[in-house]
Amino acid sequence: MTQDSDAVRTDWAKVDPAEHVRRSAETYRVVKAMEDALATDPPEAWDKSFHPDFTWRGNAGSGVKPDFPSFLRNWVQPLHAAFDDWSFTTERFIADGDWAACTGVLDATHVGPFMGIEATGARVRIRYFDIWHVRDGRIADNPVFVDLASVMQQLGRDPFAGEGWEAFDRGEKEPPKRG
Amino acid sequence: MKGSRPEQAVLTRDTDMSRTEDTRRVIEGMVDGLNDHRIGDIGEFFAEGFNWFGNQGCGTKKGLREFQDNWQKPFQAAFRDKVCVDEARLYMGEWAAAFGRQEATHAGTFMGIAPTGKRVTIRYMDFWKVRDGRIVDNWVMVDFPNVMAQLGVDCFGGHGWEAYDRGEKAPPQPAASPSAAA
Repeated sequence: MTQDSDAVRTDWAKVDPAEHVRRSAETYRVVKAMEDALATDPPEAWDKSFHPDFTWRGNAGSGVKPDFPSFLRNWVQPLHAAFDDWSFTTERFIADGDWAACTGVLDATHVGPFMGIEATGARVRIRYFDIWHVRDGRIADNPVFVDLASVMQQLGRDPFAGEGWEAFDRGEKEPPKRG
Repeated sequence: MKGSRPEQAVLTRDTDMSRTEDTRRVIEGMVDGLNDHRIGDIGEFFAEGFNWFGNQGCGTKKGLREFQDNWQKPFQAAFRDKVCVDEARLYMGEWAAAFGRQEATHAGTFMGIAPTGKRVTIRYMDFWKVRDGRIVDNWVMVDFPNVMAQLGVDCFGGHGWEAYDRGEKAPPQPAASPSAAA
């Protein structure tokens, strides 16, 4: 059974195609401007990219940041305390009307405690997906997944204590079937 | 803080925008098919050599058979009475993305946790590439740690960053003030 949450979806079939193209291009511009600001400007200058209603909605382990100051204090700051010497690469980026999505990777060095693991100096790959909703020319909603469990694994700790489903892929365990 | 940015979004840059409607048709058919709990006949939506790249804990499935045996079947063994709610779905050329949640009943052992009968929310994001009417690649994030937390197990051992959100811990400061960030 499928339910679509229409509250956050625009029926583009009912919108002039030229308007859709224009809105998609604007969304692309807004997100790229935000990424450029985060790459080159000091954090104090980033807020121009974010809507007053901005919410950053992370997966388990990352948390939820209900406004821009808490995003800076409770996401950006601890991330920079744990990791340094960034290279970040957007792999895939699409824009559709007021929404955009990407997959990307951060390559960074583990320089501070992370999930209870003391700094190792190891180079890690942090995979992430972002979804953005643009309103009034700014980012209003930002659901995010950051693969923190994979980073722990790269640092030698298995958060799933051997229960990860990779064991099925490696043929080490028989996948259960519905009883 | 030093940050570098190689050339961005090279994989989606040259997508054929005339394919958007075809991509939409394939993805919407697949979502309906999977929500009807189909497994055996889903080759209608997926190319034979399709790859499913999950986040840590979910694994990587090379080909339709591995996806059926090592993802769909164990998922259906652990969870039943699934309702899928996509919060947003995006299309651009040969590419699509979605995020949303499944609501399901914990009916089989999951990550070592014996069935509880509890109703859980399983959050996910998907990125798909469609070619010639079929999905050829699928990048996925499924929030298994969040499901475990709903079942009373904290796989981060108290170190999750939600503690900063709740004001229970002070977020650590970087050694040097960040001048550039990701």
